[in-house]
Amino acid sequence: MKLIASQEVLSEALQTVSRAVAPRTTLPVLAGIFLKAEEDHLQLLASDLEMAIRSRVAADVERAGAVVVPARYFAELVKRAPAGDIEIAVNPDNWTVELQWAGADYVIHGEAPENYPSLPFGEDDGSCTLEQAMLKEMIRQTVFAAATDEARPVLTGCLMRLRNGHVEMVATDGFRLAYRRVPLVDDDQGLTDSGVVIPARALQEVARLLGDQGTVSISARANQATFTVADTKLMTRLLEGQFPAFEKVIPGHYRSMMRLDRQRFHQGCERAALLGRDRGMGVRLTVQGGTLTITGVSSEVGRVHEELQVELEGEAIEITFNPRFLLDGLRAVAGERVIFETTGPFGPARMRGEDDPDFYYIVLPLRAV
Amino acid sequence: MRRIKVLNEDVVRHIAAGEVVEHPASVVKELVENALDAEASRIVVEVAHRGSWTIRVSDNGWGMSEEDAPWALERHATSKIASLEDLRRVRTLGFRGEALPSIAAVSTLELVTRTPRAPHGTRVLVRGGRRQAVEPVGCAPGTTVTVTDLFFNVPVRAKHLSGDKAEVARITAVVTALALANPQVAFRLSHEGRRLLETPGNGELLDAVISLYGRDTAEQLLPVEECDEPFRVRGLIGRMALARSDRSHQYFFVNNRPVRSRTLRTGLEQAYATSLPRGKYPWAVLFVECTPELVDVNVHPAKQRVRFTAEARVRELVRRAVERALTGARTGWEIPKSAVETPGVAEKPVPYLPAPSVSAKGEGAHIADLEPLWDIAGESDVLSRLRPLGQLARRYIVCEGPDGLYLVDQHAAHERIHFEQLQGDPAVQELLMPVVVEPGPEQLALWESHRVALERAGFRAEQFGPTALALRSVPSALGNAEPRDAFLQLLSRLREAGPARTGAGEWELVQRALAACVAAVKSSQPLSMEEMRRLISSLAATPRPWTCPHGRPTVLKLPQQRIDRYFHRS
Ligand SMILES: Nc1ncnc2c1ncn2[C@@H]1O[C@H](COP(=O)(O)OP(=O)(O)O)[C@@H](O)[C@H]1O
Ligand SMILES: [Mg+2]
Repeated sequence: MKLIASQEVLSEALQTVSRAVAPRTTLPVLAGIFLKAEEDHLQLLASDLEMAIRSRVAADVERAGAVVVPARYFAELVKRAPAGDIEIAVNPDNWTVELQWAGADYVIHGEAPENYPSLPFGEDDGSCTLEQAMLKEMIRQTVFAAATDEARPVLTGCLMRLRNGHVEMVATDGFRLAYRRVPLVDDDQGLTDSGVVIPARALQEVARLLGDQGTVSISARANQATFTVADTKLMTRLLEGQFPAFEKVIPGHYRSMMRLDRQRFHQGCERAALLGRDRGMGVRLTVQGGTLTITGVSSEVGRVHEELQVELEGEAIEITFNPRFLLDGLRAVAGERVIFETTGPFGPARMRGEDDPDFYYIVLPLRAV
Repeated sequence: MRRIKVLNEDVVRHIAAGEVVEHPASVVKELVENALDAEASRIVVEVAHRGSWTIRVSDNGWGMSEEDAPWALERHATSKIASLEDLRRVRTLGFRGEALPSIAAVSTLELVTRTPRAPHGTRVLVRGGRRQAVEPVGCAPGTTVTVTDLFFNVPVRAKHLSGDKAEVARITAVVTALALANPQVAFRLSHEGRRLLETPGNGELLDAVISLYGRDTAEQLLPVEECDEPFRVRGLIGRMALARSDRSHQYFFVNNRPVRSRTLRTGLEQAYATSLPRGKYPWAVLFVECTPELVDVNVHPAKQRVRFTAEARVRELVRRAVERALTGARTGWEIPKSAVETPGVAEKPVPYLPAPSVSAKGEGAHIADLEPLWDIAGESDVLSRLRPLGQLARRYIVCEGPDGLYLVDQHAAHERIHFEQLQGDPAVQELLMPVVVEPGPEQLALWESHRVALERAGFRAEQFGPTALALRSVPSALGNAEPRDAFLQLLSRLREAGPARTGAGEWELVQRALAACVAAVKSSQPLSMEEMRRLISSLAATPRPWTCPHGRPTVLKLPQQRIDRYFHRS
């Protein structure tokens, strides 16, 4: 294998695929990046067997071929090389990789390409298409609610499914739930109504690939999903198991509803949470008439009492939350004003943006003493 | 012809002797093992506690003849071995001929037994070791042993028995292990008429697991099978999701005999090593088979420990078998064989800052004798003056402070802080949807015995089918830690804490266990500087910051003076 590629382009692609390199692995070859030169491009691939990222860059290929290079050294070296052309030549007898640019010559020990697992990227599967910016926002608004604990694997991911011309994404850790949907740009059977559960970690990586313009296509098959953004593909294994039937726990109607300024609500809760932070104290919301009182009590540190103007419909409210769950929701919800609905002091509450029918957040209160 | 014979003295001398009847659970174990040795296909265990223990084990095995029955109650009388040669090849669970007489010596024991061909059965009644009756009775083929008034003549032992519920949990654990070892036998265990467990006895290990642990658990299991002649290992192991915070769900069997074995345990855990966090143990039911000569079962009187002639080989076999099952499950993708073996491009992981090795002798002696801070009186504001420098081994916070260097044990500190927070009734987080937990038969019994206190602590649960619980709320102090995991961890801590108490004692036990759980959840995480500062200031705010609720120290001081002296700067 022998080729010439541009340092800037190559370095960027290496950074992208490096995200999938296995940090600790029982399979040593996975600490490497698989390179394959053919026709007019160089393909780069890395995987930790949960997730794989493949990218390609234009290159002047003199001799086609493949090799596995140690990810860290190779990527760092290319990153530190001066802008301009880099020549890469591989000796297939001992898999040494030689990098050359003006006045410099480095040799790195690589490995035989046959050792690298072959990863099926589902090239010919059908896919559905979304706006990149929308998918990015959708991930931001839901992924935080996924469980971080491995104990219930299916909750460490987001459910992604097709419903009425929209793609829906849902995450829950059993304490709260975030839901978001976005309209499809194009559908060629990339997703199904029953949907798939995509690991949160993979979605965070997908979000990094997404920009503000253009589209992304998604195709989920049997046990894996592939996201394609321009020349880069991210493939991830799906989480097995049944995602909870979340619709059943979403209340159909609410006893009270208040509307208020999102930012002031957020800041108020943040301040109230501050004092009780180290003591696992709750934040209490009391709404009577047009006034919301936020209180947080910590016998050692002091007392918080803050009042906000709200529009209340229905019964007065008195409810306590783990401030973290409340704040997570307030960060996710978009728009200037939020709607906050409750079903009683111990039942689920719902939060959403006033003019945003496509997002909601359900949170369960504390039974405080 | 008589089958049960008294062993000659030479053989008796070679048998590791010992007391076999310590608890009701050991009685159950011995009786069930006898039923298994008699090749029963159905075994029913009924226990009850009303003042004293009543234990009945009935089987449909081959029974005993009229002639043999009284001999079963003689010391060192057995049908299972006759010579030293037999002892080396023993495949039965019993062979000492001690169990029945030992049990009969401390109870009233009624033996009712019949061989399939005999026209009628025989009833033998013994109380306190004295034979009361031997008479013919009508009964079905098989054997029923009923033990009543257990320990009636050993009041000390009767008194030392831990609570009723804790004993039931122990009995459940014993029967669970034997039921797993013998999926071909239908087991049923009941306590005062209430069914605790039941297996189908269709020969399928997986079905036995389903009946004991439930379907969700079974879905997380992977089959294991590997051999290195003459050793074979097979069984089921749990995926990561089933990992528990104690080893009570690790079952090992050697030639179908439940055993404890470090060798097997190490092999198992090594295979999981990189994938499980510290303090998590894999779920496993593993069977090792080999010719009886290669394993010594005679080491421990309760027959639980074994020794292999080739320990390292067996450990390696188990490790390989488990690793293969795990890798197979994790990677649906095709991996070339060559890749598994190449040392290749792997970069060494960056090691954590290692704990300094302080030897007791020589140079190290200068710093070996550190005093824990709680011995140093009158320095109450020390904590508020500590400045964290970093984290050691993800376990200790290293600080600069008045006159020296300080180490704060993260876990102990968390435990103290949360113990104080849990005074009074802790805040309870409601769950969006109930979390189904399959704790296993023993832990289920434990939950029932502590139900009220656990509910007060925030774990509200209901029985959900025969093997499961539905959890509806959790203590808010756990943050968003996985409810199932925390709940099981709490149960296993209660189990370690031993006998079930009642009233205030029980509540304190639960509080302490909960504090330890919360601490375990929180202290496994790496901390930012800000979090270290907060942890120390929270600790400082507690009334008794120098020890955790179990009495372990939270802070260690290395005085400046000593440091100076060590570097010859004094
Ligand atoms: N359930 C049973 N069915 C048939 N035989 C039994 C049963 N229980 C005990 N026996 C007979 O009684 C003998 C003595 O039992 P035990 O005291 O437990 O000693 P061991 O099991 O070590 O031989 C056994 O060897 C066996 O022959
Ligand atoms: Mg026996």
